[in-house]
Amino acid sequence: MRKLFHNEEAQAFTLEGITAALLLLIVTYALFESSVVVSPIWSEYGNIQLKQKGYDVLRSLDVHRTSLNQSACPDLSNLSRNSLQYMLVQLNSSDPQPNSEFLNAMNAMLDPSIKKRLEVYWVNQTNNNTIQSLVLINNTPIPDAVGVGRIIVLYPCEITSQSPFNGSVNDTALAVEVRMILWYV
Amino acid sequence: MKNINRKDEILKDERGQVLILFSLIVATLIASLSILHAQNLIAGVESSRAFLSFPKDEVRNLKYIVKLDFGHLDSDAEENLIDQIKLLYAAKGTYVDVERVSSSKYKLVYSNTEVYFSEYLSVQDEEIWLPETGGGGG
Repeated sequence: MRKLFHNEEAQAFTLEGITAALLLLIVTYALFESSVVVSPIWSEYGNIQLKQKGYDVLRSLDVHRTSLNQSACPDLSNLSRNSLQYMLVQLNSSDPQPNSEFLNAMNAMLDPSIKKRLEVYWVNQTNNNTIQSLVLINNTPIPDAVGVGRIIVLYPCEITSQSPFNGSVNDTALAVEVRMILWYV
Repeated sequence: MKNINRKDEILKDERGQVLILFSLIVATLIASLSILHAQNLIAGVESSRAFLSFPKDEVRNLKYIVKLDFGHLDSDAEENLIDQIKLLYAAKGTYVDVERVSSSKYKLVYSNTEVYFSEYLSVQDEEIWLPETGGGGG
């Protein structure tokens, strides 16, 4: 028994074995640590499909006038009532509301589980180029919401005296940005 | 005295060093594999992110305006419209410019913190445009 406790043979093996094990452990730990990609969190990553859906809806509702009859302008009969253009032309500054045909078309394309907020932005050139905005569908978005936008061009004759855009430009075309904020409920 | 000799013997024993040598080889192998693995992960994440963040819909919208709306406008009205578009995009932190290079050629620039994109657009060149009638039904 006494001899067993004083036997120092193979101690070098043990030490070297421990060193080797430690070395492998450190490298394996480094492997797992390096596999974790630390990249800035992109808030819209998870909702990229919803964002694409929003762009597609705006694109579908942008029904361009293939022929513009300046003398018959605003040519509402030649403009699809589902379109963004019609919705913007018919806006009344006293109570700006999207027309029902436009809302129906938009709602048909978006799932009921998707909530939305609709805003329009434009530059008021007669007031020092300030950006003005109007909220057409007023819902409060959640932090995960995504925003999409599309610029629509309105011609001078389409901006009537009742229009909220009236007076923003002097007889020239107006760029109106329709911004839609979408989120799941 | 006998004890000292024994310790000397242990310290001089070189038979176990092969263990360290092999573990070093294995460790180097694992380390190089881990670098390869991490590089692949980073490349995959970054390339998909770059692909998703490219503003293809905004660029198409601008091309659409140049193609379809500029035709209804004279050069002054065109300049005026470009200024408005610039301001609307500037409010979102993006620099956008459509510069008239020649009578039927424009240079489109789209630049923000993530993307720099520029393209020459020729109004006569039909191939770069989406459906001529504007599409979208109606």
